[in-house]
Amino acid sequence: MPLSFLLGAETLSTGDKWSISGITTLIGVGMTFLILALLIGIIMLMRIVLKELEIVLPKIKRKISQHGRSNSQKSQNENSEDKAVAENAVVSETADISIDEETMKAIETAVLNYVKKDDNFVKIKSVSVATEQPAIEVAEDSANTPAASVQASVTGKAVNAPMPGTILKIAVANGKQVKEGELIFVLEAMKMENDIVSPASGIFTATVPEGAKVNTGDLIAEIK
Amino acid sequence: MSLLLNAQSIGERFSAAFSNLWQSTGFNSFLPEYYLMKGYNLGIWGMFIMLIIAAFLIWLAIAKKFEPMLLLSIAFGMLIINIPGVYSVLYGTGGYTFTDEVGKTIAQGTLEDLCNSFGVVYNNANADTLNASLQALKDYMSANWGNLGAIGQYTDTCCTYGIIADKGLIYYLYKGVDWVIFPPLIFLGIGVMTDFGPLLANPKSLLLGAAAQLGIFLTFIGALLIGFNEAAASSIAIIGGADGPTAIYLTQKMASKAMFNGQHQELLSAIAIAAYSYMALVPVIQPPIMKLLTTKKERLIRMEQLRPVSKKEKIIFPIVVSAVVGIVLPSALPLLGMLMLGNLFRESGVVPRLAKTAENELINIITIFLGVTVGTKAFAPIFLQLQTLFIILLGVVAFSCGTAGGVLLGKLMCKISGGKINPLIGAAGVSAVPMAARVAHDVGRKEDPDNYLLMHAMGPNVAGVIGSAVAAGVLIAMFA
Repeated sequence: MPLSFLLGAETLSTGDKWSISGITTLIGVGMTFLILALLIGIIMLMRIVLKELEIVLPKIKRKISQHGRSNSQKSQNENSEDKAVAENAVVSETADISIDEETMKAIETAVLNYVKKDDNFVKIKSVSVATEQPAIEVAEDSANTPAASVQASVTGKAVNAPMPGTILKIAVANGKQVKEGELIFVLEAMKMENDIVSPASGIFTATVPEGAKVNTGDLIAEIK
Repeated sequence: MSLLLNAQSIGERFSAAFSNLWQSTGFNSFLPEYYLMKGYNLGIWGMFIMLIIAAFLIWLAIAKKFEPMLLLSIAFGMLIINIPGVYSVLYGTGGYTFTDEVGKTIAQGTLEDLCNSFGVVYNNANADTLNASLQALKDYMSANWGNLGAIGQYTDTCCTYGIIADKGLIYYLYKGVDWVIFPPLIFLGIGVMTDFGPLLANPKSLLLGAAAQLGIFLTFIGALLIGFNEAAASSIAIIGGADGPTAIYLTQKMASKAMFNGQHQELLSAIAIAAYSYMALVPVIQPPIMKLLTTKKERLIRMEQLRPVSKKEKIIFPIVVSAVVGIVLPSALPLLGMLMLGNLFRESGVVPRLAKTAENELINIITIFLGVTVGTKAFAPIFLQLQTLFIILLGVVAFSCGTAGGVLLGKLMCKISGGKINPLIGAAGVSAVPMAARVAHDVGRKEDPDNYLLMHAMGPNVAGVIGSAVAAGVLIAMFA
């Protein structure tokens, strides 16, 4: 054991004690920072690798699934993938069978890839494929403001959830007049109750029920 | 007992039974060995002082809700162990063991038994006569050391006081602490409860978790200068990690080496009680330090929304961390490995039953055992010493320095990032999940009721758990 010969500090002079504790502090703080910094590196690396995989894996999968079938995959035409999606969807619709998981994934990735090409222009909000009624829903958003579409549909002032949690209590009834700074919600996050106050004066309309689980940025009420 | 076996007639048997019953009560039997513990001269009064302290802690746990989950059982353990005459029933009968150079046991038993079997005069009238009996026994052993089949010379280290016979309930329950099983199992449950999402979304918060461990190492200096040796100083310093299981883990790992001014020292009870009390006091200790070190402008900083973290990241994280920590710092693996296993249970989502057990039943059972056994270590002759006061004082220093370290690095990161990081979340870098994060959130909201720091503070908070376990691992690797 390193340093174990130092045990029995009572025989040490004060100067020795200072040097031991100084070295220990340096090593200890250094090691702690080093290891945690290493973990930061790992998290970053993990994120990059996962991102790359997300792009590479579907390509490989698609190659395998479309092996032998002649299609216009390598064409530079943007619409080719779109067509492939449409083909897939049409095939399953006419065959009148529920889509299996692989087909679903193929559709999803095809749509994703299509959208990725125009990354600056559109942003995928949700891709959902219903198994009973094969249909692809792509909700588009303008890229810069995630909450833009939400706010666009609200005529008054929107109240968004400040953090993920559960709506414990709605303090005001729908249609009642509220003043700015008045308590409107109690949001429970990490077993802690947080008061949410009204950002403006007006008529209060809650858009979520009591007990609803919300995420950051979700619309929870509007003030008209 | 022997009285009962020797008795013949019914009358003799009855009187023997009643005599045994009388002798077993607290009125008649205090362990005479109490008096022999070095530096302890409070006698029976020490027990009464401890009973009052235990009652006060029980009141704190019930009336003030001071970490009642642990403090209630710790305080109750303190209460029962300090009832006069109970020690030998709960732990077992105290006795002496004589071992020679190679560790072979030459003789063992209570002082009375040993004196009787070697024909040495035994007198338990008071502390002085007991000391004289022990000395006579030692003299006898010294004179006849070779004849008793021992190798080498008789020295003072040949004679150790310990528990040897009639082991009791607490003796066996304490094995979980003794063999350091309980703290890692508690970490398993904590792992299931912990969401590393905020940490993965903002990995820089790991640095805050490391900075808040500064208190540990600064306290180490203080403890060493006061006269504790390295092992004891590390045990005391770890209170600054604000993590009960880690503190108990490290203290127990160091237990055999912990010394104060050259004398062996039992630190566990004082450290556990200090660690858990300070965790309950987080909302009192932290805010003044946080306010002192930050400006109003800094406290008003709102932080950017955290990015969503994918399930894949959350699953891979515990696996990779265990692997990396296992290679770099194996001594931290028992704690961190269990933490990460629990987290894998949670994030993988395939073992909901195991996850539920680990975070509810298992952790509750372990908490009960841990609390009561740690409490019973607060036995008057061990606990009522000057060193306990030092530990409690150093603990608060450790805690404050840790908070300050986190806030100061938070300030630095705030400057570097151009005002994007609120330094208050640095204070959450001391573990104490989720209490420290709540405090950061509350202090932030006092300045601006619309500033929700909770999720941002959870990052440094869970990083603090990893940080204090790593710091403990470093100390164990150096001094255990």
